[in-house]
Amino acid sequence: MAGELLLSALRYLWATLAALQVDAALMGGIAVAAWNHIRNTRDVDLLVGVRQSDEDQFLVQLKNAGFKQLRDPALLTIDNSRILQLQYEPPGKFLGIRVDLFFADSEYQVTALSRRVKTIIPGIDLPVFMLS
Amino acid sequence: MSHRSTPGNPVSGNLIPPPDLAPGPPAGTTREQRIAMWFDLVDATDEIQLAMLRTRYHTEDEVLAAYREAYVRRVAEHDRTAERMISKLNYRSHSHGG
Repeated sequence: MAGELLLSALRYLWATLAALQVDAALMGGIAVAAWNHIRNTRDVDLLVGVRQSDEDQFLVQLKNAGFKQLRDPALLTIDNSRILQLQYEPPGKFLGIRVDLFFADSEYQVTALSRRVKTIIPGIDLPVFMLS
Repeated sequence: MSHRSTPGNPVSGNLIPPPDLAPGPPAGTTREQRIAMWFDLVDATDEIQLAMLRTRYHTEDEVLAAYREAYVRRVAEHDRTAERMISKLNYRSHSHGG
């Protein structure tokens, strides 16, 4: 059940970011699983390349796409890192899936994003990228 | 079942060992297979959780409401983990001169 919901959320998020031409890479539980450490995590975490000057427009686009803003102000900042916490409830489902978007702000994070690797996730037509 | 406490044994006294000591996927599995295993794990633990909730609640609506509450608690724990992860990333960033 949750697996299907997570897959639905990831599929829709990835398609939305692709349409917005935003560079993204899976991190968190799914990426960690891909790299040999399978953990029972229940959310979707992505590193995204969005400039600070574009963040307001980015948020509007995601909200228009059906993602729910969880905080006001929308962005949480921890140690100079921007995080956008959202929720997506797949149509007809009973649970909103948590989505965390970590903005690639530091040179290290920008480099990590540029070195992302392509993978295939069953049930998602588009190629998905993850941190290497 | 019990575990004896022995010096140097990181699982002594614990019925369930810490996640870092859990066996990994079989050698030779691909990234895609490991991701599929993650989805399987999520669904399997879901089934266990739902079965437990069905012993406590009478209706399916009550079960799903309890499931949603548990998800919210899990996400709150995730937030604390994410904060630690960010600090680690920033530490690495500074360590690499970023």
